[in-house]
Amino acid sequence: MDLQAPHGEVALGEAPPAEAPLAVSAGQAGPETPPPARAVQTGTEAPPPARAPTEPAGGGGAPPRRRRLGWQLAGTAVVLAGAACAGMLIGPAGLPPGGVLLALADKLPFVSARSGLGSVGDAIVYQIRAPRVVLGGIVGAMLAMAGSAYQGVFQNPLADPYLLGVAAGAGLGATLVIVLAPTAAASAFGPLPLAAFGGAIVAVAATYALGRSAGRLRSSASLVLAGVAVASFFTAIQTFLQQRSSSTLNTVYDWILGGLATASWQQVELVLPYVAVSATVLVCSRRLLDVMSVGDEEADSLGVRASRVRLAAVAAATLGTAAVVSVSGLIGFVGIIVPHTVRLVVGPSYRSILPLSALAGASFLILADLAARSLLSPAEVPLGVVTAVLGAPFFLVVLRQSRRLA
Amino acid sequence: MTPARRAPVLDAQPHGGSTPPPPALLCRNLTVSYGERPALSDLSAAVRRGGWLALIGPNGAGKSTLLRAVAGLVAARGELLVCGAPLDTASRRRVARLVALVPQRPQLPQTMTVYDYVLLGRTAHLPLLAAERPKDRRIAAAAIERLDLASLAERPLGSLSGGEAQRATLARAVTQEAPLLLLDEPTSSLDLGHEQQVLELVDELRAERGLSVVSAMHDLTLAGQYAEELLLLAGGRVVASGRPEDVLVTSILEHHYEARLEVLPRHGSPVVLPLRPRTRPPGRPETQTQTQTETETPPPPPSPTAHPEPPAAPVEAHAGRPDPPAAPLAAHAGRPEPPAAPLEAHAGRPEPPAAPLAGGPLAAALPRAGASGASAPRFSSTLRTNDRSP
Repeated sequence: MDLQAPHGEVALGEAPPAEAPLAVSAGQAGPETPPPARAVQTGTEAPPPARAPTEPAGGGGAPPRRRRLGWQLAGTAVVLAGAACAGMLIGPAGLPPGGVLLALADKLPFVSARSGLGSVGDAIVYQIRAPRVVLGGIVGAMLAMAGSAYQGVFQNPLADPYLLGVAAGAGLGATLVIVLAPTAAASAFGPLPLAAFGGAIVAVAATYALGRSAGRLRSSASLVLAGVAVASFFTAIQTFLQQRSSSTLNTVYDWILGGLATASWQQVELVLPYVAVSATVLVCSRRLLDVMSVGDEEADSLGVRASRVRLAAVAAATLGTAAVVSVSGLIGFVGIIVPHTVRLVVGPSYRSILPLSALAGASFLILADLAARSLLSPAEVPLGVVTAVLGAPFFLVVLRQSRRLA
Repeated sequence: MTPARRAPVLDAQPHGGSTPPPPALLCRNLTVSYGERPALSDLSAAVRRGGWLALIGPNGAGKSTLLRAVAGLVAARGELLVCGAPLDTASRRRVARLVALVPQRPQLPQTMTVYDYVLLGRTAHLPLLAAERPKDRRIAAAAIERLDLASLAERPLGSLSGGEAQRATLARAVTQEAPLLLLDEPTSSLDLGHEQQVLELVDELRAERGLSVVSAMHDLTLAGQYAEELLLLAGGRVVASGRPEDVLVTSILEHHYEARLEVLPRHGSPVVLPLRPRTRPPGRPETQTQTQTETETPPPPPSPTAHPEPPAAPVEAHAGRPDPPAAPLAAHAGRPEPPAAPLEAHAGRPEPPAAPLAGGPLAAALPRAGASGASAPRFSSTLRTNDRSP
């Protein structure tokens, strides 16, 4: 037991450590997890209320683990609800919060309420703020889930949803439309989303084909490298097109930075089917992502075909990412920062990371969008700028809190 | 044994009826190639239910390749049956329910807890997208308890010592509940004590659960102590196989390992003693060597009462360990002629140590050592396996 001392340190920084979901380990939980460390952590964290209820350790053998995830989910859902409320209540129109809440309640089944906002106010609530909040939530959840799935199947902490060329492909597709048919691109429901979606799918398919043909043995590394090559190629063409027609430079640039300014219910309906399919596949395969963490060969020997899991996860994540990118542009940072934050708080198991990332990503993007439209109101800051500016310091704080874990 | 018996027997349950159960592992004419280079050629082997086969041989002999082929991780031509079920057509899940592999250098996710890691062993028993059932958690918890990891269950893998990590990987394999357990050099990173601890655990699990074990091993003495049968591979072929005392023979080992060594007959199983090749004239005075080794000579035979069979290890291992000072002496005792002879000269030597050894000081610790080292019947593996049978 010469490891006693280092272990103490590890446990100190560890997120939800020895509370012992497992009955057998209940005995050693106490001394190694000083309450102060946990108190500090909870103070800095968005989805933390989850941790408290694990105190009564040592119930049955199996249930506590699930209960802990349940509490974590509930806590994160509360944060999401708060973020959504903030997104609904705050805006440049200055509607009274009570009226907004009444207007929302009126939409609930079996509830009838008079908001007193008038027809313009109702329209602002239903047609501008609500779809924007909902779309922000969908986009954030999808990017965060895709990011965690990518990190899982590639065993690469730098993996994000754009790893295999989604961003470059979508960017090229969007640029093509904007440059070749500027008038069509200006209308909200023109060919732009379709082109971006198609470009993203084509890019990832090309990456996969290249990566598979390049290396059969180390398929994960060769895929990532193929992704780098494809992304560079597509980005080069996109940049060339962009430079050739300087009149549309601003439009292209706006799209690339991403945003939800044009959010509408129609866009929500457009992306929802893809996101639903993708999220279902990813959430169902979260246990397999855990298996992938022992490497391809051991995963194979445990009874899972690692290459197929990777293909399925990449396909699902790409479908969802391409869909949300086509309506929101390239919002960076969410897909990489949210899964890492969640991982640092709840530990390395994708069973927890994947669902919690979805909720945390939705909350994060709704809040970031709120900041994007409020900071310079009535002008808007590009959403990608906000996610990075808000996200980077926040992530560093979390990383510092748990640096002992690494 | 018959190839006609291909009934998909999936569990290690004893067979009803008169037909003997098919062997745990049966390979016939197994050939594996990496590109053009054949790594295994025409290999045939069998392991009985509940048996332990150790694969020995120099680096690159094909030990790991054979294990990987049995685990279905590399494509192999030829016949490969596990508990009577052919593996070449089986799905990954099914292979994983028949064969559990403990790799030589498992990839341990540093922050994953021991419990979660062990739980991964249930993968092959779950529907593809399902979560673990309470039963799976119980099995994992039981394996953790059995391998003495309960106090570590919630610790991240990165904080474990080598022996603890090895036990965690073993617990994962046990959780897999496959009748055939493959160990690829399970103790290569462990010290002697932990080496014995892990091997004893494997042996106990084998007895408790009727597991069959195939292990690649570097330590020949330990291989002989734990395995019922040895398979010596060299260049992808079987060059010797049989009971430890038939395979652990000085001439065979010296030839295939290109090493200088000596096999000392022992209780139970032979001890393989590496010798230092004498490439330079003897620098140390003989007298000094003599006195040193006299003081180091282990006490007379370990009393069988103090250490019943399996734990014979502590004392014996010390005696058989290549104590540097002891080596020159043993070389001297085994070979009366000038000791500066180069390595190759000894390789073909047919009948090395037995007779001269009888006079050496070590002989005191070796009752009945006078018999020929190679083929004399010995009270060895039969006895060992008998008193282990469940």
